[in-house]
Amino acid sequence: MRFFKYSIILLITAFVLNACVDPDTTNLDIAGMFSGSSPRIKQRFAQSQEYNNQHGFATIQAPVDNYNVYVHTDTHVRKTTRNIETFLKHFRNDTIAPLAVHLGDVIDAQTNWERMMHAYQDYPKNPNKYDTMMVAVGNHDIYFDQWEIYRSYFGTASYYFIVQTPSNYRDIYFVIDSSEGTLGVDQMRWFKDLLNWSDKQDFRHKIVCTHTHLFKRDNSQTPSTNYSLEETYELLDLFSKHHIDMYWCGHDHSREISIFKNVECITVGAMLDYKSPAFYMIANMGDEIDYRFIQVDKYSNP
Amino acid sequence: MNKSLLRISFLLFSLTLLVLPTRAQVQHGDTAYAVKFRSAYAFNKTYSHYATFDVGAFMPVNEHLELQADIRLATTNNYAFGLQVRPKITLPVGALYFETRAISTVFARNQIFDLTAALMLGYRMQYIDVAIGWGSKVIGDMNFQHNTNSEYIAEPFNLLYKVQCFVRPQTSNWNLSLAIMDVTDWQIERFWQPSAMLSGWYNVDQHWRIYASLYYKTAGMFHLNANMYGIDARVGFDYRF
Repeated sequence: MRFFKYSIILLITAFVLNACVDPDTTNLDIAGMFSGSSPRIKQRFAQSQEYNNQHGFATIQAPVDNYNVYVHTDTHVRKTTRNIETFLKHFRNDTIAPLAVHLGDVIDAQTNWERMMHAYQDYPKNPNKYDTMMVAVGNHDIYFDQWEIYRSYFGTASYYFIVQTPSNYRDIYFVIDSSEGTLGVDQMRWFKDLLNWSDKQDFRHKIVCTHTHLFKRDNSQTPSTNYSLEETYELLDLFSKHHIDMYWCGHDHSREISIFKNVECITVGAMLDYKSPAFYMIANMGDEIDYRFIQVDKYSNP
Repeated sequence: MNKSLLRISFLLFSLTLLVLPTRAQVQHGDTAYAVKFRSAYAFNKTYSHYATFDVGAFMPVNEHLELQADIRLATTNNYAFGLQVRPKITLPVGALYFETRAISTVFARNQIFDLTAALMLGYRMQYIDVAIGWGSKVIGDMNFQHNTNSEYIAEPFNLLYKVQCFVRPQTSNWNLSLAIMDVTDWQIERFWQPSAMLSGWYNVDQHWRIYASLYYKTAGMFHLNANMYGIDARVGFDYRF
């Protein structure tokens, strides 16, 4: 009985330590389980707004009306970037794809940002097409005080961008910071104002891109906390009232597709180098939105 | 499907109202019927500031069965109804109980309701009360004009837990307790969304009890990026029969 008790305690301790450790540096951040040391959502949002005020919001020209968007998430870069390179190869060779989106957890822990950015910047670009990468911040991207590194590369975690097509259709993409399991008071207010403004415009599609998933229909990924119930319902109602077509997210590493209140919520699924299968999603933005999933590790070098 | 779930919610609500006028009382280890009245100031990052009002009834029908019913009204236009049936077995040390809960919350502000059914196995001693169990949640859309394919979402498995420690035996004249749990009388949260509650009571006389609690809920727990999500400061009184 005593052996059983101590085994359980040891197992729980190992689990907790494993969840808190950076595999590269073996640094621990146990306190972060209960109170993170990175800047809080209020501060991150203020800094994102500061960047937005200085740089504005992007409008991307699509080459065709029914263009493609390449969506990947949870790459959790550690020592290799094999699947990311394959993803970039596919994306940069697709002539009707003006942009790609990363839904967060780009890196796993400290020291990996540099490796990740090398992959993005060094992989050969196609000079005949747009090459835009939009990123939503994930919880792994900011803990261990990595928010400043994220900010130095991308500047903002709460923003929107518009894609304009040759026939003057316009699609809007809202990117929100959910890496802390809540939007926070200020970001929620900003997001509501933005949705109200978007209702008065003539957008063909409205998409929300963020990290955290909305539902826990299965327990395929633990421990992956999502929003509180109050915030889940508040967001769902906002999406429905403001005619959001789709909610794209990651965080949970397994694909999940749910339709609720006329909003399609897609958890894309992880694109890890160290766990197969790894997928990304191609969304074709025509009058309707079609999407398909590509198993990327089938094309990656071992 | 939506309509039948609404019917179930309505049935639960009616049951709760039927049960309320009967006699009642307070929490663990108590043997008196009681009615409870509470009000709270609350804050969370979704609603900002708001208030809640609760009415509840506790009924230790006999030494083997307790019933509890709760209603909560919030100024955020949300309404929760909870019913608990708790058969128990007294052991040489402590008591073992099986708790069946049904909680329905109407989030009228969001045109969403949820209904959670839960089964828990608990063990209660003088200074400690622990329980573990399983709950299933259905989230329903109250806007019936929406596409019929998007009416509800089921979250079929959720691990429930509660650990509550008391500084004095639970039958004492006054007490303080600290609890960590993902289940309260008004809400069953997801497994990885724990909350903490510090609470206490003081029996003014044989019938009246004063109650106060401070509730704390986190966001992003286990993300290594956790933060405060909400608090509520609750005060109230019980009338014990």
